[in-house]
Parts: sequence; C-alpha cells; structure tokens
Amino acid sequence: MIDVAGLTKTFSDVRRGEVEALKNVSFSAKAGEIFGLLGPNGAGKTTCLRLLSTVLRPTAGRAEVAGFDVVKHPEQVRAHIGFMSGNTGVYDRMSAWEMVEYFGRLYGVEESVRVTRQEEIFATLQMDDFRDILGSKMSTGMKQKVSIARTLIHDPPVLIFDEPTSGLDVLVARSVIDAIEHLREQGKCVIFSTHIMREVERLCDEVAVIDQGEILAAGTLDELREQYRQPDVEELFYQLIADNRANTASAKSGEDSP
Amino acid sequence: MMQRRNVGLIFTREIRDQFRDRRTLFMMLVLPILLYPGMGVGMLQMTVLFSNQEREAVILGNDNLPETPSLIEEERFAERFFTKDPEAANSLRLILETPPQKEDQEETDLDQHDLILKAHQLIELVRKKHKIDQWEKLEDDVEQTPELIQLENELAAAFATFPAEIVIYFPPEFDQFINEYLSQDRPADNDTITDDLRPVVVYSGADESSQIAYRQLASVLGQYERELLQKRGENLNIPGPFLRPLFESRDYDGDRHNVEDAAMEAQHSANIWSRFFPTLLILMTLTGAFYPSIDLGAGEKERGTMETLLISPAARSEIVLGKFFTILLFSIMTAMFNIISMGLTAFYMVSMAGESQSMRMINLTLPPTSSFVAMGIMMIPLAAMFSAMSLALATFAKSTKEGQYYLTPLMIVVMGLTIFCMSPGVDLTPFNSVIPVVGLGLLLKNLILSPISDVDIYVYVLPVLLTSIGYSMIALWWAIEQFHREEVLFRESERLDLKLWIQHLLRDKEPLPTTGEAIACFLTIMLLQFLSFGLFQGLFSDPNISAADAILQALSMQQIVIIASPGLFMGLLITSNFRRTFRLRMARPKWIGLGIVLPILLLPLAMTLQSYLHWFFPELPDRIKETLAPMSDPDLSVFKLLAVFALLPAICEELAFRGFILSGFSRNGRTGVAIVFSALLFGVMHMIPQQVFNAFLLGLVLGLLALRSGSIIPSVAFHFVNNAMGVLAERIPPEAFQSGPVSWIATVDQQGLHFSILTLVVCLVGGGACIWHLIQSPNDISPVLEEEIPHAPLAVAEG
Repeated sequence: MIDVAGLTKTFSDVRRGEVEALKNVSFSAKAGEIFGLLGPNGAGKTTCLRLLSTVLRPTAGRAEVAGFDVVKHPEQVRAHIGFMSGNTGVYDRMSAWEMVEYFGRLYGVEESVRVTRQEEIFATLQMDDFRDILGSKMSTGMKQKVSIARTLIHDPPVLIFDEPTSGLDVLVARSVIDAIEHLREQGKCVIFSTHIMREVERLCDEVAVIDQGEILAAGTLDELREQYRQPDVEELFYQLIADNRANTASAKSGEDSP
Repeated sequence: MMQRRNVGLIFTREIRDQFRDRRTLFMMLVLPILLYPGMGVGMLQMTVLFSNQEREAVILGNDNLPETPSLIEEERFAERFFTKDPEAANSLRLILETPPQKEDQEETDLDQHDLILKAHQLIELVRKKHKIDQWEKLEDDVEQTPELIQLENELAAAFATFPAEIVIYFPPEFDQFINEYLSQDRPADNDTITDDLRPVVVYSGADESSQIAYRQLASVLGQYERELLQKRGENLNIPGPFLRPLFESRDYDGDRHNVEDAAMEAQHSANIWSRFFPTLLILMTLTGAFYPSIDLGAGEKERGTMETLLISPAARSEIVLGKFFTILLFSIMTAMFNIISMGLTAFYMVSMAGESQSMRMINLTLPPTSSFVAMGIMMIPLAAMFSAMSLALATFAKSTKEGQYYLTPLMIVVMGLTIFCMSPGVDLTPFNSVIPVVGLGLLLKNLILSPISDVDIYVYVLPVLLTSIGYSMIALWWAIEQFHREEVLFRESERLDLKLWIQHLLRDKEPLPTTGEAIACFLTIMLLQFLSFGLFQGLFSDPNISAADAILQALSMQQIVIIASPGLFMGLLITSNFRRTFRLRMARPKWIGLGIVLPILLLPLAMTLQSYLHWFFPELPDRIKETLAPMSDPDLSVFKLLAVFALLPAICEELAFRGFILSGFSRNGRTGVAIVFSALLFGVMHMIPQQVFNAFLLGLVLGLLALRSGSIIPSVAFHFVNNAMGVLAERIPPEAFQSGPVSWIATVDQQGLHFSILTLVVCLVGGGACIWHLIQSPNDISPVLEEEIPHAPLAVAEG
C-alpha cells in the first residue's frame, strides 16, 4: 500500500542554509497493518508524511501510495488517502457536520453514500452532540474528532496520521487510539507518527525510528527488542537516538579537526 | 484537467464562509448604506455654511448704470433678482466705486480705496488681453504669444492677492447705450455692440468662493438682461422672445470675451460625476477584493486550514479558481452597493436641493442610465484583475497582518493611476487605453461624459476590455503560481533578521541568482536611473562640455555604472558560479554567426513595424528630441558613436539582462517564462514607450539566443550589430537612396526610411527561419559549468 524508496527532501533555510530534512528514507507498509514512525520533534516525521500526502514534492527518491506515484499522480494519491496532522486545521466558520460534508463532496463521494457513512462516523466517534457547533467554538478534542471524521468520509485504503493524540486529554486520546485500532480491523493501511511509546506498543505492527532525517532502525517491535537486546521500548528508542546524535557530533568534530 | 465541480464546491464554501464573517458583511453592505447618506448630510451642511459666508463683489463704474431699470439698490443688487433664494441677496456684499452720497459722509475708507485701485488694474489687464486675443484671432495664429502668456500669468498673480471674490466693470456710456437700446429700433446684432461697451467680469474658476460669487452674479445679470429685453419689447411692441439677446450669451459663462476667468480652463470640471463614479468604482472594486483576499489567502494559512485544503483531491488550480471567483463576487458586490448607495444619496440630494443657489455651483445632473449599465460591464474585468492580484499577494503572505502590508502598495499604485486618469487633460489615447486601470478609468470617465465628450470612445471599448482581461489572466496565472510554490505555502512565520539574512546570502551562495535577486537587480537599475536624472542634468548644463560630448559621457556612465555594475556586483557577492551566471563561455560558431546575421534581417522588420505603430505611442516630448539633436551632427566621429551607442550597450545591457537577470529567471528550468519576463524588464528599462516595445521584442530574441547558445557572446554580437546599424544608417548620405543598389533595399523621405517589399519579404523569410531554428534547437550545455549545479534543490524550489 505504501512503498517508499530513497526519499530525500532538502529545504533552504535562512538560519541553517541548505537543510536535508529527509535523507534517503525507505520503508513499506501493507494493508491491515499499522506502521509507526517514531522520532523526536524535528526528526523529519512531518516532512515524510507531507511528502506521502503530496503537499510537498520530493527532492529525490520515489514514493508510491495505494499504487500511485506521489509525483506523477498526486490527485489520485490524495483521493486514496486520509491525512491528518497538527497542520490540518478545522474551518472556524463551519460546523462539524458541514466540514465533513464539504470534504465528502470534494472527494466525490456519492451523496446518499456520504450521508449514511457520515451518520455512521458521527455515531462511532460520538460526535452527534456537537454536529452544529462552529469550528471556532470547538474544543481541541472536538476538532480532532472532526479531522478524523474528515479523513474517513471517503473510506480511503490508506490513512496517514501525524501525531494524532498530541494535545488531547486522556479520554479523547484513548478514543482516537481505539479508532485507529478499529481501522486496522477494517483492513486499512495506517501509517502514524508519534513519540509516545505506549501508543507504539499498543498499536504498531511495524515501526521505523527516525532522527535527523534518517531511519535508524526498522522492523517489528519484537525484532527491534531482539536486535538491540533491550526489552523496554522507551529505553530502546532513547538509546538509538542518543547513539545517533553522539555519532553525528563526533563525525562533525572529526570534520572540523582532521 | 480542471474539474468544474471542485471549483464550484470551493466557491460555494468560501461564499458561505464570507457571509458568516461579520467584518466582510459590514464592509460590503453596512458601510456603503451608512456612509454615503452620512456623507451627504455632512456635505449639505458644509455647503450651507459655505454659501452663507459673505462674499465681496467690487463694482466699478456703477455710476455708468442706467437709472431704470435699476440693477443696484442701496449697495445691494435689487431684491427682485433673488426671488428664488432670498438668502443669497445678503451673501453678496457690493463694494461700489462711487458709493451713494450719505449725509454723515465719513472720510473715504483707505482700504476700500486700495481695493478699487487694484480692481482697476485687473480690468486694465483683462482689456489688454482682449485686444491681443482679437489680434490673434485675426492672424489665425494658434500658438499663444509670450506676451499673452505673460499677461495671463500677471492676471492670475494679481487675482491671487486680490481680497474680493469678483469684479464687474461697467464701461463709460453704458447707460447711454442701454437707453438707446431700449428706445430705438437699433438692430440688436451682437456685432454692433463693441467690446468697449460690454461689462467685464473677472473671477477665478480655481477659487471655489470666487466661483460661487460668479454664479450668483451671473444669475443676477441674466435676470437683469431679461428685464431689459422685455422692456425693449414693450417699448417697441415686439414680443420678447423674438429679440436677440443683448449680451452674446444667455449666461455669462459661455462668453469668454466679457467674462474673464483668471484660472486656466482645464481647471473647470465638466461634470463632477465623470470623475466621481469611476474613481469610486475603481477604489471600491479594489477595496471589495482587499479583505476577502486576505481572508482567503493569508487567513487560510493563519488558521491552519491551508494544508487541510491542499490534501483534498482538488487541484491547486481549482482551489485558486474557487477562491478567485469568491473574491471577484465580493469585489463586484462591494462596488455595486457603493455605487447604488452613492447614486441614491446623490439623487436625493439633487432633488432636495432643487434650485437652491448653493447647489447650483456644481453641476449635479446625474449621468444617464446607460452609463450605469456600462459601468456594470466595465466593473467585471476590473474586479477580476484586482481579485487575482490581491489573491496572489495575499497567498504570498504568512498572516493576515502581513497580507495587509503586501496589499497596501497595490492600493497606493491603483490610487495613483486613478488620480492620473481623473486629472484634467488626460484622455483616452491608443497608448493610455492599454495601461492597466488607466484605460478602464478613462473609458468610464468618457462613457459618463459621452453625450458631451468629443472623443470617439467606441473605438476604445474593445482594446480596453481585451487588455484588461489579459491583465486579469496574467494576474490569475500568477496567483496559481503562488499556490504551487512550497516555500510560499509552508513558510514559517519568522522574524526578519537582517544580519542573519545577509549572512545567509553570502554564506549559502548558490551557483545562480534566484528570481528574487534578479528582480532586485532590475529594481536597483531602475532606482539608479531615476537618481541619475539629476546628475545628468548637471552635466548637460555645464558650459565647458559640448552638448554632444555631454550626451556621450552621460550615456557611457549610464551603461557602465547604472546598468552593468549592479548585476556584476550582485553576481560576485551572492552567486558561487560567476561564469555561469553571466554565461561567460565560448559559443559554437553557428550561434555567433546567427547573432551577426539575425539583427540585419530583423532591423528592417522592426523599423517597419514601428512606423506602422507610431500612431499608437504618445508623441515624444520635444525636450528629448532636442537633447538628441546634437547626435546627428555629421562632424561627430563615427567610432565614438559606435562605441557609445553600440559597443557599450551590447556589453553592459547583455551582462545585466541576458546575464544576471535571465539566469535568475531561468534557473528553475522554465525557459519560456524566463525569456518573456527578462525581455519585459529589458523593455521597461528603456522608459520611452516606443523603445519599450522595440526593446521587448529584441529582448525576446536575445534571451532565446543566450539560452540556446549557453553563452553571452552571440547576444552581445546581436546587440552590437543591431545598434551599430542604427548609428550607421544615419550616416548614409540621402543621395545614396536615390538610385543604385541601396535604393533596392530602401528609399528615404521626410518620414524616414522605407524598405522595399523585396527587402521585407527576404527579411521575413530569413529572420523567420532563423528564429524557428532557434526555437527548435536544444540548449547547448557546457559540461564543465553544469557540473557544480545541484539539480535537486532547484527543482524543489519552484515545485
């Protein structure tokens, strides 16, 4: 469902000059599987997911989502994914129902199908009590639910969630996690990024640890535990990142004083 | 492939969104409904206050007036002249030259004496001027003599310091003339009334107060005249209407011989609406586009919904179109509500004011309905242009606050253009009609004036509409462009740190300049050119340098300092590949050959085209012609001329435009756009409209040549040959065109060179073939120079 090979993205930044936000990243995820992208803030998770959602174009490398190339068929890719991140906000002057309705129409979902599906989604996500509340009046949790409903309205085979539980209270976070788990049961391919290890342990079939734009390790959690002989996932994650940073720091000092 | 459905969905959502925004509704609907009636009330109060001020009229020769019918009674105009507006009788204070004898006669007021003296001087000037005017009429000399101009200046200056508002002078024996007129059956032919017998009125049309005094006076004199006519009719048993009027005009306004307007004629407004409505329409369509575009462009980013929209299946062009139509609709509605509200207010005020004296000072007759229909049609391309431009600028902004910063310059430029086309003396010409905003503004102005305008406006309707639609398309394309650029859509709000930014420029040098740097280079050139005007003025006025040398020096300086150096410095400082930026490498002989042959083929075509289009461009000011006159001096060395007019421009202009600027535009691989834009800037740099057009065409060919050959040399050769031919053509003796081989190519007459059909056909075929070949050829790439270019980031930068 998702196939990424050698994906690279560079930006030009006033402060840091030319920045490689993503360096030669490769991974793949299958249907009925939850793929976790783990990394600290600024690791390149969001850039990677933005490339998959076609809002950014890769500098080099290739990515295929649901069988469509992100560069050659961006419209097709967008039609087959549901994407949510901290940057995909909810319109202030639209109610919850209107928002989901609008995107359903943009995705070209047939009107009768859309209405039944929307009713279903609103029921499962317990959104019926704020159906007609405008975005500007919603709480963070309500907005997050609207965003999730928006990603599901066209029933896409691939779902991409960028830190879906950030800023949510325990109750809402739990219901979001439940919803994602439910999606796997439906045979969707879910890719989601996080830095919360509990979520990873509960959800992910496969993970990739990413830092400074590079994938440090990838595989199932069991494989990783075995490979690095570390049963605690949080400790494992911390070790990987710390080692990587130490390496790059020494490489840099080596460069400076040959 | 564009899906209309998506555009429609986005459009309806945005409309609903805007209607839910109270600010938009306020701007569009509530403001106009409240604003104009409010302004109307205010204006009414102001005019009432204004007209109630006392104004002074100096009456010279009041003892030359006949006893009956009386014009003046007890130092006022007789009350019977003010039946309609009795108040006005008190607002005009008369200062009589010979006041009626009073019993308690004080000493003559010194101030009053002075005033009357000055009034006499004014009348003296006016009479002198009339004499000259008449002489000139006889000689049929159109041009004003310096003497007359001086008189007019004196008159304006004298009136400026004159304390009263208006002067009227009744010549000696005026009473005798009137009495004769009333009693005898003297032919009331105007020619028999000599100028010496006519009253003279002096006022200033530029001075509001003086104008009002004049209107009141004119009304009084008009009634007085009617009275005289009626009386004559009674005396002679002729019914009134058959009599010819006594003074040449019904109203004193039309008679320039008797009424002297101390202001220039252009200062009069023909019809206040012809300026008011177009100005309002232009500014309101822009204001109507202003706020929605910020909300739809920058606001979307600020509220964090931009990415939500981008990940929907709608293509970016569909998103832009949906937003564009929304802004267009609001722009049109805002303008419409404003015009309607203002029209109704004006209509109400006119009907209320009726015949009141104070309101008659301005001509408030509303334009016919057809003008409103025309305005409605014109509004659409205008609104489309503003909507697209505002959207592009607003998309570029990161926040709504920044959006306002970016849109303000647009507002100021549009205001400037509006003021330009509403100023007196500016009228539709072929050239004006294609300037954005100006063309439409002038057309609107003339449409409202159409019953009285002498310009044949219908010729201009199509060009104005087409160019306006063209500008809208370009602006829309630009807006879509903005939506394709990642750095525009995903810019983080960052404080501008000048030091960091300069460090970034110098440290992270890229091989080629960016588009922004190319534009900065061009703006520097333009700024330097502007600043150099003053400098060169000094050079021209230096008596130690001959006129020709001064021009040669100025042009050389302009080329080296102003045109070449900004690009060269920027190239050195902020690009890492100087040679590639300026295309400093050898070209294949084929390209150099083309650079030499092509201008020879194209010059006759360009010159012929220009001679066919000369009607389109405004006439060159005499000053420029005079400045360039010494250049045709046959004693000047040809080598000097070639160096300054051909060699220097060939090197300097090519380095700047085909070097730095073209490299900046073409670095993301879109060569077509790069060539057109660099040619456009190359044209604009030449300032004079004729040259702008010619240079733009040349710029297209030069840009193509530079890109294909990968070298600056062919375009330098082209530029040199092209300019050199211009210089040399001046040196061919006219006799050479009479016969022999030269005459087969071209003939010469007063209008200049005429190329033979044969020459033109050869040039068209040959030049066409060369350009076709250029277009079809791939770019020559130098492996050595290309190596250093990291392709990847460039491709990303522009998406």
